Amino acid sequence: MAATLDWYKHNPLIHRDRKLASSPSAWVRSFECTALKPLIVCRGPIRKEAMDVFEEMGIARYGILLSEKDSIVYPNALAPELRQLADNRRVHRVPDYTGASKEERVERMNQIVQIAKDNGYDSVFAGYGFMAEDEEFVATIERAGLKFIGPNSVTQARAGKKDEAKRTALEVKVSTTPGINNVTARTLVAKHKTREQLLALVKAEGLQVDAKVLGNASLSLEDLADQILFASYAKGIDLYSIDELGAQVEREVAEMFRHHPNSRVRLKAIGGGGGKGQRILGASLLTAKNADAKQIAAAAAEAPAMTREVLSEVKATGVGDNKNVLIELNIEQTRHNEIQLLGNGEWCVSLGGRDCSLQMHEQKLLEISVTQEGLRKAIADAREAGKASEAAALEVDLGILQRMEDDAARFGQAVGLDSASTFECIVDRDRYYFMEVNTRIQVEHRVTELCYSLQFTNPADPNDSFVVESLVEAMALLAQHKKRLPKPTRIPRFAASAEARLNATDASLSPHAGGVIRFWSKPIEGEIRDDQGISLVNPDTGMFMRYRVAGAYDSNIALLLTKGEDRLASYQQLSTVLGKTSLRGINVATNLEFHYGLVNWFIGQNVMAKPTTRFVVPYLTLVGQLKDEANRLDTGFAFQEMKRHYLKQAAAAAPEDAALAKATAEVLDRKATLLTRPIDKLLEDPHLFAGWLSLNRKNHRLENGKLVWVRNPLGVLNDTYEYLNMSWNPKAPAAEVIWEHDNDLLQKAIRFYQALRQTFDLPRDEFYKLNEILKREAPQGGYDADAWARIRAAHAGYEAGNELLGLLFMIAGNVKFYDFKVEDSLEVTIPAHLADPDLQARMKKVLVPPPTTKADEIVAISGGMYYGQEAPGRPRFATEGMHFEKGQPLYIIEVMKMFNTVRAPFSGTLDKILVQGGDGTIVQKGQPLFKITPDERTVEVDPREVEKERRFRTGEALKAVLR
Amino acid sequence: MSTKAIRPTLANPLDPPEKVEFNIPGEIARATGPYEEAMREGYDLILRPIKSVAIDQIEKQHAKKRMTVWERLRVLSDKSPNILYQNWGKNLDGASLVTAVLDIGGRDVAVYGHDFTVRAGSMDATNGAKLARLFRMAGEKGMPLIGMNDSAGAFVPAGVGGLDGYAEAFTALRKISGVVPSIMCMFGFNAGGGSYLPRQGSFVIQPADTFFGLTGPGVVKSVLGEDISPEDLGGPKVHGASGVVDLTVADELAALRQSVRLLSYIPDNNSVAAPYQPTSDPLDRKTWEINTLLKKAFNGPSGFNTPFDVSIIIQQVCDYGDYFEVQPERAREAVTAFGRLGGNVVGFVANNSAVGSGQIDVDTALKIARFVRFCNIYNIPIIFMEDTTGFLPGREQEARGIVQAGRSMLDAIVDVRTPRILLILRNAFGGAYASYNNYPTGADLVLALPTTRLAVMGPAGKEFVYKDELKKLRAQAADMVKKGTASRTAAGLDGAEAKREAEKEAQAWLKLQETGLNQRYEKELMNPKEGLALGSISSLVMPTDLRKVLGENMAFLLRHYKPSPMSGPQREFH
Repeated sequence: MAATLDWYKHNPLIHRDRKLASSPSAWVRSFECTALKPLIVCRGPIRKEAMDVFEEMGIARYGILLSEKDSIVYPNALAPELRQLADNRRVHRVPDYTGASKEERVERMNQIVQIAKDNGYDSVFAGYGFMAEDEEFVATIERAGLKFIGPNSVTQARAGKKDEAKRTALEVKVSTTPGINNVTARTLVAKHKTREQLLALVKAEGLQVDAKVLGNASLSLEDLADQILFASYAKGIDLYSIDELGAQVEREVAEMFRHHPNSRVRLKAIGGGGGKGQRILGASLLTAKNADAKQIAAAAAEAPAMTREVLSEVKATGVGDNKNVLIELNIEQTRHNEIQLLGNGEWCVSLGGRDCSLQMHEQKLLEISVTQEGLRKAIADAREAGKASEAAALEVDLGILQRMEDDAARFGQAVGLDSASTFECIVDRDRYYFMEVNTRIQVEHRVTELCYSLQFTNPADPNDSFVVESLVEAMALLAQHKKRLPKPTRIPRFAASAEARLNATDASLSPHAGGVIRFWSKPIEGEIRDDQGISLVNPDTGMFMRYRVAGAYDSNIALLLTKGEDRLASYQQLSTVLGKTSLRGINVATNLEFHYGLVNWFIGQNVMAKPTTRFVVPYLTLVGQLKDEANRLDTGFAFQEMKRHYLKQAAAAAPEDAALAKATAEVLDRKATLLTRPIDKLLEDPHLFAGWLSLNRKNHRLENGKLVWVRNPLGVLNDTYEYLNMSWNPKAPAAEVIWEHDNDLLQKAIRFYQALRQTFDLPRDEFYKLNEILKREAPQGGYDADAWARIRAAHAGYEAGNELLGLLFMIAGNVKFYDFKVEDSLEVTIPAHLADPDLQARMKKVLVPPPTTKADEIVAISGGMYYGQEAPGRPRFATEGMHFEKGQPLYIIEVMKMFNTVRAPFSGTLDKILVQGGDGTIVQKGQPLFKITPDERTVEVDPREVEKERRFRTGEALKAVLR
Repeated sequence: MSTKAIRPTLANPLDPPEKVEFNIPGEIARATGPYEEAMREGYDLILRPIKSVAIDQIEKQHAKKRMTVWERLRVLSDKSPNILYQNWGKNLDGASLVTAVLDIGGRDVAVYGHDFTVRAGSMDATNGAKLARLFRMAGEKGMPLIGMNDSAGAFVPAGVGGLDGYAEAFTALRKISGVVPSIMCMFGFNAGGGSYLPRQGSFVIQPADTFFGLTGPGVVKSVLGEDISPEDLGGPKVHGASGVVDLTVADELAALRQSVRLLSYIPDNNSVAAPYQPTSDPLDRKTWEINTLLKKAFNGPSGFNTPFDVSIIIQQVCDYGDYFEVQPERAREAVTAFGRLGGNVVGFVANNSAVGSGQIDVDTALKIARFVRFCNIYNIPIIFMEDTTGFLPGREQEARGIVQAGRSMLDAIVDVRTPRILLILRNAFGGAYASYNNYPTGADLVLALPTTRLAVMGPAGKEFVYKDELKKLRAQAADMVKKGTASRTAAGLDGAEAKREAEKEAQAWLKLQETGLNQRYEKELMNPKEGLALGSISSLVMPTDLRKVLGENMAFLLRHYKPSPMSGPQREFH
């Protein structure tokens, strides 16, 4: 690997020359897209990706749209793409979309069309932005005579709306979850109970309904109601109120509870997605035995309020909005799989699957490729290794994948898909249910790109073809050439791929706002880093530019991808990438460590595991327990105790030999930083710790409460440095790697044991045997007496104190870490206690201790005039009894005619407003304004007590590890 | 363990024996003699400062999560340092101080670092002299200086020699102050002289988990009986807020990296310009975002009285939006930052309405004065951005000496001889305007946005401007009360109540009239027109043209500016 290679700007995995215009084949040249003038209207990693792909295709006249959060909301948050696109004439701006009203949305759509027209763009690329799936937006673009690089509005309507999609799925025989997709029609029928009444309604409201429909007496009442509703949406009137709808939803939900005992029900607004517009109800019934009518009624009673919530989340509460809500059985133990689709309206191909089960709060975290080729190979490997149950489990998956891919392609064709989309499913044991179609490119599309490329072949000449490796490229080709593109064949590219979403979150995966990245190590070979251009250095100075992670729209910072010859290899590469990533700055918090721990947890267990969507929360709880225990361990004290133990032993063995005690003490002192530094790192970050424990699962065992090393702890120590990305590297800053003297010692010791293992012909994981041999006083292995004595002395020195590493396993034992595991059947066993919501909440606080305060008042930060609202007529910031979050505006203080908004320094409940008088009241600096009760009150603890407890616990743990 | 005690060692008996034979690299082997012995001894001496340190001392340093001085040097540059006086000191070990010339990004930089593994990096006469020689050389050759301070203080066994050592170093550093710029990193636990010396430098950077100050907590306890942690006494939070430290960072690594970044904005010495860096960011790039920012702020509910973060404007003006803020933890009522504009380094001094309405208090004034003086001495042009409601009045400020601090800022601005532009963003009133780089104080150019509100007084000015009107209105109001009470009593209302109601009515009326006057004042006087008419403002600039106009004017001014050391009489105050 040449040091000068820039894996960021010239990564063969994602960058290539895509100019079809330079092909020798006239047929291939006919598909060039250089004339395309697209306007990119999305943000995030996909904007940078689209810019790169368009440039590589020879599309020189693309433009981008900046949002306010790209430029003026925070300093140091300027869109990094501007370092690549210095031509300001191709950079456009729209006011931020607040989602306040339908009018605003329409206004924004028209502004985008206007910008495109004014600046000579002929097409619009929306990536996976909020507008990408908006049928109305797409229709607006199309009406304006612009191309939409994505599925057309008709497909959007048929596949994008969740209820429509479900109907189509039923028509083309795709299995769907049990549920109700026409609750609005039912609401209407409940209100107008007969055909006559419905027809009268049409007349009374003057609705435009096809006469054929109205005349068709065989049409069911609900279908008729649906047709009437469509007409009402077109006219922009409401035929039912949200209250009426809520009542109907409540009835339907109760009915579902009766039919499906011990289940929860999910409400989904049809325009939702990405976790928005969904609610689950019925948690109390999950464990209830034979729920009675009263319990069911109580659970269903939440439905009306939740209906209102989901509708307002997707901004569908306005007059004339389609307020349909899907009511579905919530399938509890499921995996989330999806199939990538690509079509041109005539043909549609499936491009394998992605397993997105590892998610939290409906936000995906880790996405793994699933392909038929990959599964077949894994099955063969499992068979060869004699893992029958694993092979059987994989067979099931293969069967499901084949069915999903076939069904998905059929569905895509049925809805006339003419671009990229995703067919989303839930997989439950040997069955799958269709959930929805995302009519846009998805965040995780690169997972698929790495597995399959597309070959387009001239129908007239089988040797005349071109290959497309990018889905964005394929979308642009489709937008420009549509039906002319022949159906491609998919060609396996790499056998497996994996994507980790790097998010701005704290250790408990809660969103963490703010923070400035000041340093991000360069990408390594085999790393795809889609980071919106954050790693683009200042083009003039070559220096990394600081970037404020603002969590503007969501918490995503970057997508990190790797590939491999099988899933294990892709995981291992991902582990390498995550491990080597150094991300530094001011107050920066990401889920990097979580990912690193998790990926290594799977590597240590089995990467073919089938985790469900309920994996992450209990896993985090377990990690929290690790931290809770780690907080009670004092490494420095442990080291001293260990040293005392050794000295006591030395004194017992040779009471008169002072030199022995001295030699022992010296040897141990030499090893202090070598041993305690990696231990402290692991104790500090429980995510790193969890991954490490999983990797070292088989390197130790417990016998009668005593720890036995299966592998030489020195070797484990060496691997631990490697795991922590702290291996010796003379070029790295010394503070980030093993200290040089520690490395010298460690390498010398490793060489020693390698030589011994060779002499005695022992494998790595039979250290305990070597240990036994070295206990013998008589020379072994052909060494003479003197050499043997020196070997034993060296062994004593090199192994002295290594027991400390064993403390880490004692923590694992305390929290039953290894009970959370992957079975031979690939199912993941989650210990039941980790599902306890109280424990989960407690461990979340261990992972991220909330800010505490002793205060019971909030005082004025400066003198000036107090205002309780932003302007007359606006809602008041503070009301008595309200709960406020950290960072929430509480009041405005006017100083010299400037209005400064003051935010809450912590979260709490406002008990009483103390400030007297209305807006404009003069307050003094430090004057109490509000009486409050903080959420987290500082509890005074005696540090000596804490230390005593830590020492006691450390001493207990030491008993099991010291010889 | 076996019954027979084994004496543990860390020597690997299975490793091939280490060869310690000495060869002069590249030399053909020949019979050896005293010459080789001399060579070997010389070689040992060369290595002594690095190798002679007992390993447990290095471990001690590492156990505190601190790097050795040699490891720190490697972070600053991948080039090897040219070590000066490597064996100075009676133990021939360099006497706990490393001085060197280091190539950082192609520039010669004088570097020193205390070697904490030798006598805890303490100072005696020897290394005081050694340090002084480095400073003098830096001054003579015009090299910037980076200091890595990690010292326990004066070496007590050296007695007065240690104090002399400090004194000599203080003196040498003061003599090059204003000749070459310096960046000081504070590592470890530095007290007394170990604090003064670095603060004589231009910029001080302090990582977390370090302390420096006059004395440590122990002395505080024994003298004042006060229990205080090192963190609360002299940690980065304390110094960052007081301005004793210019930048606070997470750890040593960040401190060293920040030093290198800061270095890229400052010149080698006082007779050259800061490093020019050709840019591919077009100078005529429209700054649309400034327009959006102001539009959003001024059209919002609180109108022209809405605060906004001025660093966004600096960002928009700079090449590729890259800038470097100094003292970001202190007095953010003003932002001081380095950036490049058309490739030239520019110092930005901008009032920031987002914090404390952008008022100038003691800290703000001193922060600005300090930054302006630095730019002035080192030939860095300055762009001032004005948006302040004035100096912060009040007892606290007077007691802290706002008059002296504000004067310090004013004097620093008057003294500026480098190209300097004032851009008025919005508010520029009274004394704040008068002391903030206007034409009379020596500005080369005064520009203003159309949103400028340049007036002798802020909104309170209506009391003076409309004195007569107000007097009349107030009299009218009093009259209204009288008449209103009378008519109400006549209508049968009880006397007290009648008066109350009449007062209420009159108050409402008066408030309305005053609001009208307020608006009239804002409309008639709080605008750039008078400034333009009197030549206080050269011209207006549209927000979208800021980069172009500032960049072109700065380039013009720099074409006619020759970097040179400052000369002329010394003024009384700094």
